[in-house]
Amino acid sequence: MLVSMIDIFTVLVTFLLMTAVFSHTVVLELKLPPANAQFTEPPPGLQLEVTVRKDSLQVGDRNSGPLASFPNKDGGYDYDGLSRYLQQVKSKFPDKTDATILLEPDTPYDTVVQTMDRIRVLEVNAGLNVVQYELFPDISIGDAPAASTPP
Amino acid sequence: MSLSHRAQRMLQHQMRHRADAELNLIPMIDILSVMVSFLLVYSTNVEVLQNTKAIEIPQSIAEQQPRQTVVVMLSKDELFVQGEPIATVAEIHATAGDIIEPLRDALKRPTLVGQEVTEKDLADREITVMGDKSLPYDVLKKVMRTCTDADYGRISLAVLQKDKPVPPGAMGTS
Repeated sequence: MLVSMIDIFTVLVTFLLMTAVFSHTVVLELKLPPANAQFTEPPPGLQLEVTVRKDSLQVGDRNSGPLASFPNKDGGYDYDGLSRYLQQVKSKFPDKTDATILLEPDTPYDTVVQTMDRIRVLEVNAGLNVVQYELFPDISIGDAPAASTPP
Repeated sequence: MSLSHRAQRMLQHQMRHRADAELNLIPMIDILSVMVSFLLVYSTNVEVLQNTKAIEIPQSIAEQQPRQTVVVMLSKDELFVQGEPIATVAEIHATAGDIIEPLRDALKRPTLVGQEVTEKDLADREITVMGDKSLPYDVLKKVMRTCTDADYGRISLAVLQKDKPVPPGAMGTS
């Protein structure tokens, strides 16, 4: 009786261990315009743009120009500074949900995803849990204009 | 050399109990049932995207579950559509315009999704791009441009869910 039960359990454990997946794949959704869309003037109001340069992250508004710049810290991008700044922007424009990332041609894909993460949500440690607050989840991607100031 | 009094007693004790020595089954069943329930809970959601070793996809804090879509995989040196090799990254680099012709031809194939697509659905067909994290944006842009050109309006980027960091003090309280 007990032995047959152990048999079943052992088989179950082995089977479930073999099929178990410990890394979950999830997706990030992009909001891209259709290929045949005509160029339209951006609507008035804030058009948030985050430009990823080799040495800095720049936040700007398409209608009024650059707003803030975050130079690299310790050999990496200053994602925390960007997070804090976008939180302030979100508190001023609570209805805004879209943003554009502008990238240089040789930016690694990993940087693209990390920047998207920081623009999409804000992670806050609330007690024992990490709570995600929505910032600008509708992200589109574009080409960065050539750097205006020579390095 | 004679054994000490205590050693003799221990030897006798062992001999007496040799016959009915047996495995302690109850704790073993406890462990097995805990493992079975744990693994059952963690294997309930079926993986839609198959991860391959050739592609190291970036980590993210996203929580959106993937859906059943056409998958474009970009490894360090090759491009696959639904597991079928289409082009090499070197060829993509060499492409002058934004459209990768072999990829567009592959995506235009009507049988790719395995179902009839109506005119209305055409604009927001979904596609999932799995890219290696070292790839430059340049290659990614060409792939995405080709996807939108082949009427796949909604592009998702596949990422690996980052492990939730355990805040200090959370251990042992739950």
